[in-house]
Amino acid sequence: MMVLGPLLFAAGLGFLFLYWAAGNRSFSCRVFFLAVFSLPAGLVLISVLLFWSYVLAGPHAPLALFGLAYLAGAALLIAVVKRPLQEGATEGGGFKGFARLIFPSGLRCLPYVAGGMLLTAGLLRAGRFFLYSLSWDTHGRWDARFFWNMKARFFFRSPEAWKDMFTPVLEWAHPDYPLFLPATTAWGWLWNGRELLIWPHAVSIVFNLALVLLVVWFFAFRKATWAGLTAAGFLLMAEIHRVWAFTLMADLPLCFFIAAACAIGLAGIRERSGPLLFVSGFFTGAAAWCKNEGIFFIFWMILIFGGILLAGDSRPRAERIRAGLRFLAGLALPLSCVIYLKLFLAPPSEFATNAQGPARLITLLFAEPQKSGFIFLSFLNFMITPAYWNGLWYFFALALGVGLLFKRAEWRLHHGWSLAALALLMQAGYILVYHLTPHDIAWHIQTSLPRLLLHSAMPALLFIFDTLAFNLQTAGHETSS
Amino acid sequence: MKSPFQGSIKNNISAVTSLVLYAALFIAAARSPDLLPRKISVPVIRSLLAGEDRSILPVGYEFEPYRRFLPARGRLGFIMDFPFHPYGKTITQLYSAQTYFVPVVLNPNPGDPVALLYCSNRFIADQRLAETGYRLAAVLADGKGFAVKKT
Repeated sequence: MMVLGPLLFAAGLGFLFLYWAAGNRSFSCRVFFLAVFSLPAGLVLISVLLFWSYVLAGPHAPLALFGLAYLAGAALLIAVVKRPLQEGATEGGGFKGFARLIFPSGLRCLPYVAGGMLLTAGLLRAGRFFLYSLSWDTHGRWDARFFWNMKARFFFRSPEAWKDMFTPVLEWAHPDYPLFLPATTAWGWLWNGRELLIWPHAVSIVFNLALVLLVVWFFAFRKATWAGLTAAGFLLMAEIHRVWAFTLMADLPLCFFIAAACAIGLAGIRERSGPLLFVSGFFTGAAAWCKNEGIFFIFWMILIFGGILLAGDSRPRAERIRAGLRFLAGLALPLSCVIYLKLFLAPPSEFATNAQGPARLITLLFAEPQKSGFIFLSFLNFMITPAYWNGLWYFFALALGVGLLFKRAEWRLHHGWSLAALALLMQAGYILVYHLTPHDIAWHIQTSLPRLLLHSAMPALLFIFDTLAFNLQTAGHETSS
Repeated sequence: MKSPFQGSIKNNISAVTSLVLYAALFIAAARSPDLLPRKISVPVIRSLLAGEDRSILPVGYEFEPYRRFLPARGRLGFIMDFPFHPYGKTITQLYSAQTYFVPVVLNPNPGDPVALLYCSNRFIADQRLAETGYRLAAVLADGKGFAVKKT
């Protein structure tokens, strides 16, 4: 129960939240959706409740947290029971429909078997690496060891003095960093009454598995589950993923939130589903609550999906505005924590301090062409390293070319280009940040570039398979679930 | 059941191209090198799963001798071999100590009345005390102890 207790509670809360938001509607792979996203959504909700409990209740924060969590669960349960199921919501959303997708009969099962074997090999390899990390990196890598766990200890050991984590003396511990991971870590410790070492590893496993299942879900939603199995296997077999998957740092949860926001957002656009856009907004906000890079990600999501709703969607204007507002409503809950943290608790970011004023900003961006060249070359050099990526960025470039040449009509209908646009915009944002860094640029790139590229690899992976994988729907092989 | 290859030539070319590209993705993933260097430690995993964390030393455990002298909360200076620098060689000492002693806050730019002294030996400790304006108040080991600000 050490680990299961807090996980089951979070899963229950997340399930009720997602069911209230979208679960009573009719859409493809509805049950699979709830199974994949409930636990991560629940952990986000718990971290938000924990943060506000500490802000509002101070020394009594742990008690307030459990009270708020139970109240939120009860309120959601009442709302869910009262809300009627949308017509057609139970049809094909059950396990029979899911089984038909996973185990088709005849020769059609061959791509599923191949994808399933690749995914199984990837899971076994990742599992072995997880046990290796558990043995030799029990406390996690640098950021986890010295920053995230330290902040979690402020939550756990001193509710009355938790704000000391923002003291200027601890400037080296990045007091402006969002607090999803420390809050989630503190949740498991508060539940057990001690600083359980296995708990951060359990959270890490949750997000790794959820990321794999998310990829499968996205393509099951697209009626091409076999592509999802292969894409998930491709991700697990990439060395770069294994290196960062179990470090207990915030990068893997951020990858999940980015992938979830993109996948659910695109699904919501394609299905014309406002509730799915609400959930996409929720995970977009969770990305910002997880790491500062998520704040950039919010802008890109609003730019791309807002642009699609404004210009690329054939629905009536009022309906499109409602859909956009739903996205913003989902964004609001986790973003409220980020805004409060940045405005009232944390000192200004070291990047913002370094780039004060337009003149300084222009100098940093354009006055050093050698620095710019170094940054671009670093991106290129790392992306073309075959051992890390299994050629992911080559396939991305190929998919981009294929899409631009042959799939523009399909893109206009299904907006698959949005995934590529998000991946490229994320990298553009990181290039901008490197120009503004107050740190030594070589050191900064060496210590962060692989992780930043991993973030943008999530929409890139979905884009590759969305564009290049053989679409069986045109041959009428898969039936809707 | 429709064959995927029925239909126009363009559709068939598209189908074949997609299959080739899918196979290339599959092969690229399947040929991924396995660079895992070390073996798994079964005793560590067993104790973690059983919740028996006492067998695993926490980060900053080397600072345990200082704990009984520290307040439950508050702020102390932290003096180490070198002045604080974010890229410094001994920076992990400060980070480990801070992680271990939360919620006590350790100031790496000593100006507080009392400081925790953590140097490699007494010669370096004497030098650092002179540089920072502190005097030795208590000795825990060679180069280690507590210092108070000179008035």
